Amino acid sequence: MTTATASPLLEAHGLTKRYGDTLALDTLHLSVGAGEVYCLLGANGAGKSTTISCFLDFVRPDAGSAMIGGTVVAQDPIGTKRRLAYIPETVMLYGNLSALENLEYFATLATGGRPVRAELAQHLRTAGLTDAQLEQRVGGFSKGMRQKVGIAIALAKGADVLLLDEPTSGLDPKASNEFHRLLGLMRDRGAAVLMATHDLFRAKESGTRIGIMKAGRKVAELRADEIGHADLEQLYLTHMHD
Amino acid sequence: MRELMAFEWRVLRRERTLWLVLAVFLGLGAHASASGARFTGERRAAIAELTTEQRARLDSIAALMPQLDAGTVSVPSFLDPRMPAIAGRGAAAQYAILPPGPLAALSIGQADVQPFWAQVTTRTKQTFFVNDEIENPARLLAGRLDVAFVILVVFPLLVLALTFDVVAGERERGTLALVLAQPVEPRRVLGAKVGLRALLVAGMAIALSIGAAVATGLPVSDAQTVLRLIAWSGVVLLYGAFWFSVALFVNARRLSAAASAVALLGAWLLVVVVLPALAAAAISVTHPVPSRIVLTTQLREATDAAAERRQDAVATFILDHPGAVSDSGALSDPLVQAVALQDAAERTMAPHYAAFDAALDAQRRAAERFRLLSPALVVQGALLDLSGSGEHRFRHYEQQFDRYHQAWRETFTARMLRRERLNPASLAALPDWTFVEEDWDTLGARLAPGVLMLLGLVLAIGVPGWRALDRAARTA
Amino acid sequence: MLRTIASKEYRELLRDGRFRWAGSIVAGLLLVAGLAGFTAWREQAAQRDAAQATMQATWFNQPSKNPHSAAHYGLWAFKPQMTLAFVDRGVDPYTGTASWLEAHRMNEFRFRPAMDATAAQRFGEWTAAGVLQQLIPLLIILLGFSAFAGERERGTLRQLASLGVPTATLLRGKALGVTAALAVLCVPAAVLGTVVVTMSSGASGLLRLGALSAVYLAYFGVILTVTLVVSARARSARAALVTLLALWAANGLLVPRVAADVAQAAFPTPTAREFQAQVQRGLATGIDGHSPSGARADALRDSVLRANGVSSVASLPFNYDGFSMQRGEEHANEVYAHYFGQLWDRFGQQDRAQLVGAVVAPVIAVRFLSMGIAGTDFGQHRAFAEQAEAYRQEFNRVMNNEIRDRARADESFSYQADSTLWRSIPAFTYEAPSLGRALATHTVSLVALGAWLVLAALLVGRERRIEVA
Repeated sequence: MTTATASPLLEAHGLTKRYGDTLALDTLHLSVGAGEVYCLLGANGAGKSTTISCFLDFVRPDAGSAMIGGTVVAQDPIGTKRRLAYIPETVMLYGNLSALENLEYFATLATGGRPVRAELAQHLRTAGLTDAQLEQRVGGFSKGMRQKVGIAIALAKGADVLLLDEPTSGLDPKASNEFHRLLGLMRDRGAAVLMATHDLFRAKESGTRIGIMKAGRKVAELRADEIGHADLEQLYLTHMHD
Repeated sequence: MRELMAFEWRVLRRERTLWLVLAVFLGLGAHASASGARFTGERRAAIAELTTEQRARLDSIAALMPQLDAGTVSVPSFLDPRMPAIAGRGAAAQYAILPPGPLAALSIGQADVQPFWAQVTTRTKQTFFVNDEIENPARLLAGRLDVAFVILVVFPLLVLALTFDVVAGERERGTLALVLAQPVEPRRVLGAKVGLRALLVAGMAIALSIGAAVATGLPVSDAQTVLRLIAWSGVVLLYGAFWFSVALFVNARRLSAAASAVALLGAWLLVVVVLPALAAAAISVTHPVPSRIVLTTQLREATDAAAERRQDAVATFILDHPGAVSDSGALSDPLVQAVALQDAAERTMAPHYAAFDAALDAQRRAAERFRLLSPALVVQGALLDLSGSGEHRFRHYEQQFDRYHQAWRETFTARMLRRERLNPASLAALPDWTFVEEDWDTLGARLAPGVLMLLGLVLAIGVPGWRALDRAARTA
Repeated sequence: MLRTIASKEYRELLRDGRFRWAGSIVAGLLLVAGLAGFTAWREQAAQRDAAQATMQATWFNQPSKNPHSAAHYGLWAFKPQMTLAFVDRGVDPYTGTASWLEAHRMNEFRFRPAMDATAAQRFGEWTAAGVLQQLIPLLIILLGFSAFAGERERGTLRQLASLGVPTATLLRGKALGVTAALAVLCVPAAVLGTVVVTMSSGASGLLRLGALSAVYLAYFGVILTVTLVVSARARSARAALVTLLALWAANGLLVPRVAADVAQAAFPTPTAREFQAQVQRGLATGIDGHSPSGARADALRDSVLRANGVSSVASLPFNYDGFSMQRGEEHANEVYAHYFGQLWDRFGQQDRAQLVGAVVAPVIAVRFLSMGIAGTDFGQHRAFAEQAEAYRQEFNRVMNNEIRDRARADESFSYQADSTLWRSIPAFTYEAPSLGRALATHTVSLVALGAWLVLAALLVGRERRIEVA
């Protein structure tokens, strides 16, 4: 397992976001380095998605800053987005376009140039789609297949930062397993991954570090290799109860 | 930008409903063009027939006159075309024809309920200004599916169908988040979406206008027609721009696609149905259509009164035409007496006619004001005006007609009182009817307020709409 | 269970801001249209009654004159309207409202009110019938499009199905709920209509109002059923809305216009010039085209002389001019009856051809029935025109016979009659066809609307299964 480098690719400095009376994020600090997979655990509404949204500039923090590669996201949203890939729970694509056409579109948006089709096809294959599936319209694609297109987008951009929002919920065990294999691949290529998830097992398996969030705050952070499955579950439940 | 638009087109063109909607739209446009072409074709045929009939009749009279003079032929005196009273009452009467408007095939408008020709005689206008074309009233009630109708009613629906979910659709399908996660200005993506649709809308507006013009065989080599067609296309574009900006505005409200469809449908109903209904009700209440029934009874009473005071009528007539009476015999001529009676009746009727016309003019002016209540009515007025099937061109015709009728009567009254006999030369010297189209200044002045209002609305709704949409599209 | 479903649907709709807005707008337009229609109707009725009385008086009060001059003097007949015309003006704005009755010729109707109105009014004006035919269906669609599709999207349909509610009950319950919501708008309108009609035309008006209500109820029932069935089968609420709106536009805006165009193309009417030429030819040469008027006149004179055994018309025991003028009138009457009859039959053919469109657009059938009941359809216009024509023929006959019987041979056109003669002809009154006779001309429309109702019932009956997801 690779270790985190000195300069983190993803960094949150005292991120704070308020929606009316609700504090969605409360001075959150975290950092993820290259080759690191940081898993955010927490109940629904704990602030996991808001954290990811801050890195995407979907949400502007009221205080603090989200940084990618040392650049503050809010100051250069376009520049920072060049380096990242985003995979939501369900990767929604244009149903009437084929997988390749979808990728072509997003790659064009991502790079500003005209991508080479053969390369795109190769990325889709790397992500695990068969040749027949490349030309199929994605309207009938399963969640897992869509996720593969999402990974292919990340590959096509050459993203070194991955933001994953509950990517495996609702996937069957085989698809979930396959996704984590791909995640491992990205990590090994030196990507920094921030993943919000409910899956304690996968967090332990694929994560390098795990943060537990509650009511907008990070209440615990630990290294995945320092804790067993049972302990993690126990720790999680303890935090949820008090 | 071009590439983004190309992608957008790729997504859009795979929507089967788009093609269905387009096909229906084009089908309606084709039907409307065909129907307009048939309508103007029939009108032109009728006019050609009238012109031929008139030429033949005048030629035969001109040929008959020398024969009558020479005594080789004789006709009863009440058929003698040399008598001014006889010639003016029918034999030499000319048709005052209102030709189909410059873009008539595009809009039938009011043309199917207005007379388009009249045989002008020396008699009172009420007796001959009545030539309605035969038409099943159920069809008049159903209304015409002409190009103007397709533009006014169907075109907005097409614009709305194309634009109601520019952002909401992407948001609901979830693709917006993925797009926004890319290193590209959201404005550029939005610009591609909006721009492509704007191009499509503009293209359809132009295609429908020009296409219909070509399909209906308008003389596109004629400068007047081309100018009008350009103005027409401009109005249609502006109307499209209006609906487009309404759609942008509603899109920026961050409603769901279904809610924004309902909201836009509401806007369509408001502009195309509700506001015009209110405007029409306002016109009817403030300026009711003056009653021709009342006018008819007034005319009858005036005629009866003139007949009762025959002596007065004739005396007044002589005083009105000093020096014109060549000899006292003219006064005992029953034809002269008839003219004198008609004159007396018309004198009594003059204030009634004036009041009637004033009421109609006031109603038309009010209609121009109330039109401004709804962009659809503004556009309807402009399209009808440009095509020449509205009430203004008809009124313009009626005014020229009245002047012509006046001239016709004066020339015949003078000849009758002088007991002149007409000959082929004087026949040729009779006033000729030619219809002069309204000049551009008058037309432009009438169109300007509506067009400016529409332009103002496009800016007032479109600019903030675009800004708000730009902001709304930044968040998934 | 039915009541529970219906009352839930009803409550939900009444609380929906969209319905309240749309309902108020439609109710407002109905009220404006009804009020404007009624005031215009009352004013026109007063004008027409006054004008008809004046016309009749001018006829009765003619000074002594030659009967043929009196026939030329003639009079106008103005078409009266039933009270319900304020709901549905029908074809009246397009047929003209006045007919000039004179010697020798049968005139076409004049003064189409539509001619003097502005284009803005023709585009924008709504009669109460227009609101009922077009806007209430739109309201029904707004009320019902999400009845099933919306519940399916929210997942509540799955819940309902799991409780064991039969599909038919669900459908009927929802229909009942929407009907109740609609009744909030329609019942006051109907009550208002009843009050107005009772006050101005009594029991016969009420019978017609009842028939009119029945037609519109049937129409609304059809629209409601189609709406619910589409909602039950659509993939999403959005798809249901789009489908229903397309159907609405086809029904109200497009198909009637296209049907009218197609009917005209299939059964063309002559142009006004052609028609006049036909009539002139008929007058000159007879309907068969083989009896030129000069020859006919000669033959008539010869036969009359022979029958009376005299050699000149002066020796006849009656005035020959009066006699032959009446013969001329009778010939003209026949010619006019023939060609106008042909033209009007053609309109009837076109109307029936338009009804083919009712396969897609029930509004076409409803429109004809509504006009028929309101007394403003073409059939009743024709009835008026025929009665006015009969009156014209009658006074011409009386005038000519007066000359025939009273005038000496040399005073055909100088013989004077006085007002006793003018007054011997009763004033013109129009006897409107009964409701039954008016409806008899619309059997095709009745059948079409009936067929739609049956189809609606079948659709409801067949809806056994509604997909829950």
